[in-house]
Amino acid sequence: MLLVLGIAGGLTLVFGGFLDMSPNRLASGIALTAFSLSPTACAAIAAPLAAFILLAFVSNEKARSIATLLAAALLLYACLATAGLLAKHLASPDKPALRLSLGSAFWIPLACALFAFLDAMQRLQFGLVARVGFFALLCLPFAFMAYVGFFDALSLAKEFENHQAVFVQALVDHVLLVVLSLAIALLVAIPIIFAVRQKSGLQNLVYASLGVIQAVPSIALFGLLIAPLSALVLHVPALAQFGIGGTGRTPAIIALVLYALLPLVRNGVTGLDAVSPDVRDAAKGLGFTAGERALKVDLPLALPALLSGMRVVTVQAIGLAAVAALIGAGGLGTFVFQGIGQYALNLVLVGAIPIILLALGTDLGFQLLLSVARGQA
Amino acid sequence: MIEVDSVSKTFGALKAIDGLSLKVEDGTFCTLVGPSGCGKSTLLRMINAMIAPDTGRISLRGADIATLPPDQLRRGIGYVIQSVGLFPHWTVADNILTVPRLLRWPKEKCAKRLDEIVALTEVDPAWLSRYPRQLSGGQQQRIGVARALAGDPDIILMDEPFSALDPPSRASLQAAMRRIHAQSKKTIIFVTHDIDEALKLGTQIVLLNKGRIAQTGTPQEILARPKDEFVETFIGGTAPRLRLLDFEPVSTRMRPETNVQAPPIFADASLKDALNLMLSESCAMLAVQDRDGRRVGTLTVADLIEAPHGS
Ligand SMILES: Nc1ncnc2c1ncn2[C@@H]1O[C@H](COP(=O)(O)OP(=O)(O)OP(=O)(O)O)[C@@H](O)[C@H]1O
Ligand SMILES: [Mg+2]
Repeated sequence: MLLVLGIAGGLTLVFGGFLDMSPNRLASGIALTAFSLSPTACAAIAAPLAAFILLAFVSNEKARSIATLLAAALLLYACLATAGLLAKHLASPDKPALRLSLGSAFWIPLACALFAFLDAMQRLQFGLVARVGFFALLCLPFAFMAYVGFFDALSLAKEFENHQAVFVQALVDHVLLVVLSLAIALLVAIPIIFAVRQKSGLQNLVYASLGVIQAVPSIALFGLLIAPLSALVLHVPALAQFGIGGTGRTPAIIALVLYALLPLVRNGVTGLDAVSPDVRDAAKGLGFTAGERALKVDLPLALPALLSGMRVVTVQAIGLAAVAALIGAGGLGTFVFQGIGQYALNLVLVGAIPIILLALGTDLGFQLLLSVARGQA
Repeated sequence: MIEVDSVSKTFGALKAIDGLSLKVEDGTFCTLVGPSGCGKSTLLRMINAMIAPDTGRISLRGADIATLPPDQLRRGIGYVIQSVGLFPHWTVADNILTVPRLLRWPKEKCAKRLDEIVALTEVDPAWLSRYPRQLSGGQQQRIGVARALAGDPDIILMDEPFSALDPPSRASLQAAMRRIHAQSKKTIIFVTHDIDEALKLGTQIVLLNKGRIAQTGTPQEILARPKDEFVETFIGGTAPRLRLLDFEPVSTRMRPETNVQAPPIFADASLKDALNLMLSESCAMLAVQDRDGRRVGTLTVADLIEAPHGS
């Protein structure tokens, strides 16, 4: 694992471009390798990568994992510092249109550092809290560097700055889209879950029809919803007052809900199936009403399974919501599609990086919730 | 009073309960005993409306249970299910307080009740904050009993509540149940497949076979006059004649002579204790005393075999 990371990182460092320089935002640029830019910086990045390769031959697992954590932290900050310093060095006030984008020799070693972190933490059996704490510690200097303008010369930062006002709105829209559709999906899924459990014949039908929806590509589903919704609004104009229409948020939310149903229902049913019949019998025999049984026994006992379903669904919805920008639902996907349209890759990243971070953060949050829920059951 | 009136229940082709009628007076400790699959659990679960009878009716405290809301009915009946079924997501204390909380008792009353129940069922207070999976099977069973008693019901249904307990724990819980019964005069229906346990605890024994009552009566009646071959074989293993000695005090069999010297025994001791003393002292005669130590008579081996004339 470490060997592969070290070699892959090393190769891209040598042959890949670290910074892409282009005269303006849209023109394609020339790739500059790290070595051609600054041999010292190149060495700073290469050293931890070489350490990875050497560490692969250390047999003491604990020592190796701790050393890997250190090397990965060094690699991460070597990449970040080099990127910031070199960009500052290359930028000049008389060429304001000059664009400096990060190339593969930046991203691949960065990814190598992340993989090394995850692997080492796994081997050291870091608990969830330790993981979160470690990442927070790791991100702190980065946040400070970003705050004081260390990365300002990079065009990624420039794009971000240019879109700062809309960015916050897009982020809020994105989160809102996900949260809203998730809440609706839950409200729809819970009755389906109970219905499926009541009538076992229903299970196959429900799974099959929800499975078909899952198989429809997201872009197609968004598109498919436009026509019926437009027709609906045409016939019932009152709906338009509530912001319902063929494009925009409504079809996006409907599509996200439809995608969320199968994992939610499946996990809910599995969770309820796992509640022991003895426990249900005892609850009934002691005089719980049907509602009390569902709320105080079934729900808490099925919660871990339901939460892991929500984890999958939420992370999936964060990604899918990006696609929803295509039908005018707003959100971070807007930057991605604008960027693609203008061939401005840095603008794509302005949308993509927060989406990835959002997904990772949500995943971590659900893991925390799950460990709490499991600890109780 | 619990009244079961010509009740039948069929599962598929199997008649689990077959035209069964039974009366259990208030304050009775009724033990339901019979071989595996004879319908004990089914009968018990019909009393708290967990299973609806196909035909016949069951009334509790004079009211037909089919006319009562089942949830409220069950809150007033303590129930220990055969497979324990503690709530895995609640602590032991929360499990015990299930019914008081369903009944919305105030907090202080719940806390007070918890202390009482813990003392009554000899639950180790250290378990209270644990989760059921952290207890052994026998410990869980004890909590199951505590949970059934917590709501202070006047009727308690227990389905093989002590089956997973080791002999000392079982004996201590049996004693606790007898104590609870004697003090509170609750009506208890206690299912077991262990005839020994049934005879030890019950004031009324109901022997079931294939969904019908083979015989019902006091332990003495069952032991002294088994109605048919089934009952005879079922109680056979318990040495019924020896068992009967348990229920009779020395005073009913002693003869009035007071001049013979012999090891002493109290007049209110059981005949079984007397026989045991004779065996351990290697003698055929005992000097009977009352509780003040006054000599009141004599008991011989022959009196154990046949009651003396004129006594
Ligand atoms: N829900 C059910 N469906 C089908 N058959 C059942 C059901 N419940 C009980 N039976 C059958 O009815 C008969 C009586 O069952 P019951 O549980 O009352 O026996 P039991 O006397 O309690 O036995 P044990 O001592 O083994 O607990 C058994 O033959 C059993 O297989
Ligand atoms: Mg049974």
